[in-house]
Amino acid sequence: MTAESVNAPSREAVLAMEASPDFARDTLVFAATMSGLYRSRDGSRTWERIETAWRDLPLFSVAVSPGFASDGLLFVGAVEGGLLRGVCGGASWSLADFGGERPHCATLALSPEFARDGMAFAGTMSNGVFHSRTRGETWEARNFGLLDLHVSALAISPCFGQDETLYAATPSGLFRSPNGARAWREVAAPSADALVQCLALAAPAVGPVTLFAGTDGAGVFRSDDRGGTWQRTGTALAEATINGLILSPYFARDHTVLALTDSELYLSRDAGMHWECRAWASGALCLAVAPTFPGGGPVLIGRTWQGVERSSDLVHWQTFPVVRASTGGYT
Amino acid sequence: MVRGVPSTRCSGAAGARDVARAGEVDREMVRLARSGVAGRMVRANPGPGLLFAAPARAALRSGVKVMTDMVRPTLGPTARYVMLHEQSAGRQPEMLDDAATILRRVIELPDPYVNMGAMVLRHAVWAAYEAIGDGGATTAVLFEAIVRHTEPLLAAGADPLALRRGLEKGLAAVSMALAKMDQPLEGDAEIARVAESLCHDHELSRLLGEIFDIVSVDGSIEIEDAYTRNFDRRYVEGVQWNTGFFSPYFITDQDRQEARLENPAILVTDLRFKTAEDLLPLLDRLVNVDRRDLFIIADDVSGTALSLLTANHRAGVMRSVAVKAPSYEPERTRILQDLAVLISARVVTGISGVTGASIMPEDLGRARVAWAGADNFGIQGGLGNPLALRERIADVRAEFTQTVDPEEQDKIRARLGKLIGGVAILQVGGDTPRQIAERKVTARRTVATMRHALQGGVAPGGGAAYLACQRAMCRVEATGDEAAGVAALAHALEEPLAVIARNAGHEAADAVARTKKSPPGWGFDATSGQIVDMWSAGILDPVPTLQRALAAAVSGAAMLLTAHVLVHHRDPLKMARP
Repeated sequence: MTAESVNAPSREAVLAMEASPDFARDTLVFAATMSGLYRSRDGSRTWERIETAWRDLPLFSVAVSPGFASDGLLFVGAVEGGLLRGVCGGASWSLADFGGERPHCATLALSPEFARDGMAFAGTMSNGVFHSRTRGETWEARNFGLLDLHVSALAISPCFGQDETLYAATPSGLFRSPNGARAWREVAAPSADALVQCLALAAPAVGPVTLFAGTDGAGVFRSDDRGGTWQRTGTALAEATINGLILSPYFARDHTVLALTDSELYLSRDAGMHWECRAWASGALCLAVAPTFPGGGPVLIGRTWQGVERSSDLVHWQTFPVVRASTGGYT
Repeated sequence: MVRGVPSTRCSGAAGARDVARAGEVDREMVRLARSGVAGRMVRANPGPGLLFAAPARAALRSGVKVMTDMVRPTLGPTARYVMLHEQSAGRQPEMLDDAATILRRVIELPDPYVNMGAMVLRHAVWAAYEAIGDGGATTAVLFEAIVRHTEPLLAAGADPLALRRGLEKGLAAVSMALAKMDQPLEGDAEIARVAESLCHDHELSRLLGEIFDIVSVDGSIEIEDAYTRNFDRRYVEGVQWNTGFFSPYFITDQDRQEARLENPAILVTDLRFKTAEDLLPLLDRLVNVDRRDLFIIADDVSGTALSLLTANHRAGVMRSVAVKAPSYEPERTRILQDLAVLISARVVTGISGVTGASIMPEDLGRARVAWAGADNFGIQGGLGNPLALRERIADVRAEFTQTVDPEEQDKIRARLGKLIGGVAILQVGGDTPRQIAERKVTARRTVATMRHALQGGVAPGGGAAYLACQRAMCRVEATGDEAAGVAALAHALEEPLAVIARNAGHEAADAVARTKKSPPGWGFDATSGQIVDMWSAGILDPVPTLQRALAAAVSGAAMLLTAHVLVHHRDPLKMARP
């Protein structure tokens, strides 16, 4: 259960990770690291660096198109500002057009129906939220009602095609957009003191979406009324800093939630009422799952300097380093 | 009959004889008013006119009835339109479902005495409409019902002043009972439900639910034409004021005739800069900290100060734009303070003794973009402190709630819109310009009423709230004619529900009786004909609308109660004829 780290040189800090929506077939995983974008073709066992326009630049965020199998689109946000749009699975890259600006894209969210509507959203560190209707080519600011332009997390409704709902977390509050980021409205904050670091949304069988918020030092909170009121989930994570939060695609049925703290991965099978620790991984930074989770799809934990932890059953874990490599090289 | 018989016009006879004739006069007056015969009679006889007691009351009542009959079909979920003739030849008749506007279109009834009653009702309805933007038809039917229920009392010799006191006591009791019923509106879905019960348009209601949920009750909402068939909305981000740059030499985009700076330092001041020396120290300090984009919002920049800015701007040394500070004192100071919060700046005021030479870079704010045209300027993405911004919004909201002057409220609403981040625009489309115009009227009315609903809460609609207030009226302390006045008002409270039921093709008495037997919060759903939980069904009315409509009706009806003599002025022109 304890993560074993391999003593490999120059291991990369993995800041964000995302598996291909077609993971069952292509086993592709992308990782944004301190020295660029990495790709694994074998479900995180080995990694290769993808050449982007920004060589060696630290990357904040990565998002893979839900229609990746056919459109091969992916996006990466750089720590130093700007967003790169990769086509053909990352073979070719271009700088997305933000009207002359290069905002720091800390978080990205693509419409579940991206293949049809081409909508994408980017939460930036000081310029608020940007929106693209052109499959990420051009972006425009969408900050009406957003009183704080420092966006730390962005979550899109799984039913976005119907409810057009988005949530944005900022240091001074949480905001909801009921209309695809045309406008934002402040909702209640889960905790008066702790900042929201990550958000996750699930579509229940009936009623509005269920919203989970992971905080910095106050654990995980849940809201069933679109951020109107919040309940703290369980007690195991009461004072934890949450770096990642993922809900099962079948949440309405299996109530499964994963929460990543600085050093542990927790699993809840009752929508956050009770948590059990499933992995120790110091320096854990980000969390990703294959679309086939929880039906056997792997869970991946990105760590500081220690690569990626991987498990398919949340019991047995393996560590795969993401090693700084020369262009196109395998580790 | 009314004007042609001197004994009726001038006798001053009251009591039993008048009472006996009242009904007959009433019917005749309505007939005359409708046929226009009475009008012709007036024009044929330009002499002075006086009408006393029962015939006077009958004439007034007729006017009230005619006007109420006009708008009665517009009440309720199955409301129908009233078609109004257009004065200009060849134009399509006007279709209206808004009682206040319909009555506003009636300039004068043919009979001057009937017209007096009509105009009192018209003013009462308009007063309610002006105050809350809705409730016109409810005001009219309540007004008419109060007049109808008090007439037999007057005819039987009741003291009009005591009746009036009774009505006013009843009104106070109903207002309090309504206030106790109110529930706040929360969330877009609830807001949309109430909006739909007002405008009966699902799409408009849905959009208003969303808009009000975002901008809240005091947010800035504009209504404009759309080039589509349907309603839509857009949110204009950023703040804009209608003052422009001091010199076209600042223009950076010739096509748009606009000066635009990205990530500029922004100076907010009420100072006047006339000489280069006023600005030179600040420019030096900015260059020293490598800030080479400066946006100045000041009372005046002219003379060598302006030349200094334009010369450096054109040379690319210091890109700058200077615009005039918006508005005038005392509004200007408030606007500049808002602006300063938006961009995290300090307002540099002359009154504090600061001069241009002593302005420091840290006094300036920042925004993602600042732009200016000849007549306006704007700021997008102000990098103000979010917590300070929230405090400022709370302060301005408090200011709004303490303001009663509508003009002042509009100004504060505009400021709030800017602090929140822009203006919500409801776009109104349609198949024809006429349809768009009518929809815009409906949209404006609904927006105005929804503001009251959001401020004052909602209560069960469809007349159920009024009916529930009958219980509260039982506790009103009154005796004699005052008590009769209270009872008359209690009866009149059934009228809105009765009219709504009748308009939907149901038996009014049955609907009223069933609603009276239903539990609190339940009422008659005219669409289904069932007794339903009004909260769950979303059949809700804004409490301020209910209160204001009743107050206007009682006020107008009480005025008629106490009117004993009607005087019709001579027509001097007609009198001069041979």
